Amino acid sequence: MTLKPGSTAWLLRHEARLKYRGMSGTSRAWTLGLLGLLFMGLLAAGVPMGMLLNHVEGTPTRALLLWSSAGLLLLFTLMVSQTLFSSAMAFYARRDLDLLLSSPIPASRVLAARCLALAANACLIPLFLVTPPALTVAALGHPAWLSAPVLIGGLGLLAATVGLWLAMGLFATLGPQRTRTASQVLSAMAGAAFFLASQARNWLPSEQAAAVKARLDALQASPALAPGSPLIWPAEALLGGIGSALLIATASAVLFALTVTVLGRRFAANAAAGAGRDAVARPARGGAAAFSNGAFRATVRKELRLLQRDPALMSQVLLRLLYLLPLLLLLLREGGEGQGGALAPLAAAITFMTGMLAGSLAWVTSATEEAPDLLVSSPSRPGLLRRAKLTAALVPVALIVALPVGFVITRFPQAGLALGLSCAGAGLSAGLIAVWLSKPGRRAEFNKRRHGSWLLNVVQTLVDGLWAGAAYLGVAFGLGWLVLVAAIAAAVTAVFRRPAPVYAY
Amino acid sequence: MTSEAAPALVVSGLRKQFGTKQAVNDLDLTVRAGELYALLGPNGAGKTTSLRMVAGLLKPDAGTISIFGADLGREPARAKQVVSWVPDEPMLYDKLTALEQLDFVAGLWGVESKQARARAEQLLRWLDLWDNRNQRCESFSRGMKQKAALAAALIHQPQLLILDEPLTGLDAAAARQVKDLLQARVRDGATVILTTHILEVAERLADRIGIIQGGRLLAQGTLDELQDTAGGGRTTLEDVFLGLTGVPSPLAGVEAA
Repeated sequence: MTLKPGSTAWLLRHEARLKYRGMSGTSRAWTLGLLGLLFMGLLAAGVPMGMLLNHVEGTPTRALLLWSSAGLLLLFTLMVSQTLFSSAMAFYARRDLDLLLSSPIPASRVLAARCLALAANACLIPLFLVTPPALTVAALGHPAWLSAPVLIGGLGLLAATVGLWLAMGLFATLGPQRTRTASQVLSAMAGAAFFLASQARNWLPSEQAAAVKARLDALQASPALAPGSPLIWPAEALLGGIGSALLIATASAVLFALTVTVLGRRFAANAAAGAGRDAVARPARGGAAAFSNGAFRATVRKELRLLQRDPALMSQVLLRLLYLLPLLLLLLREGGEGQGGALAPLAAAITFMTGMLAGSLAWVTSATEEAPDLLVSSPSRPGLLRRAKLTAALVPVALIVALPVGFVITRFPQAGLALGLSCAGAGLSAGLIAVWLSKPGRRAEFNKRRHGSWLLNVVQTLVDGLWAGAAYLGVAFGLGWLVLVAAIAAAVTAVFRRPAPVYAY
Repeated sequence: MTSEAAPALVVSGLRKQFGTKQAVNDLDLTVRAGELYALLGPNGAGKTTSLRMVAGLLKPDAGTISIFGADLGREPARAKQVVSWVPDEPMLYDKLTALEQLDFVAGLWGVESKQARARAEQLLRWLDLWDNRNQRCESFSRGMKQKAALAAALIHQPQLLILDEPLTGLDAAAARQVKDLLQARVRDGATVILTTHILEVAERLADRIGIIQGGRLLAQGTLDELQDTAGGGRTTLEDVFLGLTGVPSPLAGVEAA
């Protein structure tokens, strides 16, 4: 199909092509194959759903509508967080933006295409999951259920609109340099907030949990959440309310178009400001400190500085610790109440997270070296440089893990010792495995670091799991058990030892 | 220049093949201590590959490299200790400041910290980067990056400095600073080997010039010696270079017509 050059559709095809080419050849083939199979399965899944609907009469119950609303709220929040991050990235994806914005194509059209791509990206997965069964259900005599994909498409447009406004707000408030990091933190926190809320019953003290439950019950009974209320329209649209779905999709499309029109020029200005960010001189804190003595110390210091000065990357690495928060709150509750019943699973979870964190940071310090030729041309020994990089990765991990370990030691000394030992082992094992098995990459590829390296994935998960098991057994049954499993974990780690990188000399 | 002193670099029988392409083919090269040696050649002649092998970044398929008497294959640490490599793309960490960059490189070469700090100040002042010492390299212009990389390369006072296209992308003022610095290093007794496409630079700076093509050294010597070798009344280095490498003048056909 020939598209008119410079049209929105033509720009969209450009975006789609870039996205498609972004996948590696192997993963592209696998992904397409799996998606094909999944599509067929989802089409088939529509058959029992359609047959079930033949026996269901009347409108959806209030409870079903409320649960659907909660699910849609979660989905919409995740979509917004994704489009917020992607919108902010759009200001930094400079290579083609320079070209596009210097062309005679209106900036508003460039923005429209990019935002449509953001919306499509945000709703692609839910749309893919919802559309095939909806098609089957429609074919079996329930065409109103086509409302679900219409609703998802509308939510995608609305999420892109909200994400774009938020990104613009961040840009105006924080400037181009911090927008990307802030959007990353906000989008990750949105996901983590739902996780924290879903775990509230576990980590809140029992009286407070009961109070929250009572408030939620009262909220469910409020007229604002009664069937027919505007707040319930999305849930009704999801469950066959084609009128509500069309209304939401149309309103979203109008808002999206208005946003694109209003923000077009500002988008171009922001993109230009984003491009100039590197030209702004940035004094560094603590830059004039005394010089290092020796290659090991110089390398550790260099790596720590690089970690500290990449807040976007560090937020990616550290935000997963948010998921540890409920565990820590539970730990505080258990410790505060002088009980140790849940300590063993908590110790296992903390140990597992320690391994994950150490593996991530070790990948950053060892696999993303920016000036490998500088190191190779130096007289420093490769093994020494590798140890320095591993040390730099483990320093922040030790500082973070010291908090829960210190707390447990003060309350339950033996359990604290077991936790400390297993965390140390997990950190060291995961770090070593990352140093030994990681392939060179770029910091910007952090989220893709495990693509194409199944061995690294499997070994890292296995070793993290073994150390978590050691922590569980050590806390629950004593240090003897910890030593036994720790020996297995250490042996597995040692199997994957690789010699220091082979330099030319 | 001290012709009696041990050579800074002796390369003999050096070979490197990439797939079916013979990048470096039995290269023999001797660079005297204390001279500025320019290695010239057309694109793909094997200049960078040869120098990367000398810097210890690539292992040759055959041949030996000796740096101030230290065999790079047998005593790599000793050989590397006296060499600095400055590629055309500066080896810098974007998120480090100029001063931190020098701190790190000094650490890699084991320079004592007080000494390194003093040298860093001297070098950065010399290259007009002292006021920018606490700025991250990501904010530097191309010329500033190149100068910062050069300062880092000099922090351990290498006896042999190897530069690949050091003047690429520099404005006139920055290019002059770099050239002055290289000449000053040679006056202080260091040896400099550089590659360049700007023949006037080689003509003005170099004590001796080597011309390489197809991975082989076609000729080497002073400009006068090269003119004699090329013969045919060739007076400029450009004439000599084009004559030796066999690249015809683009206007030859036009003149004939």
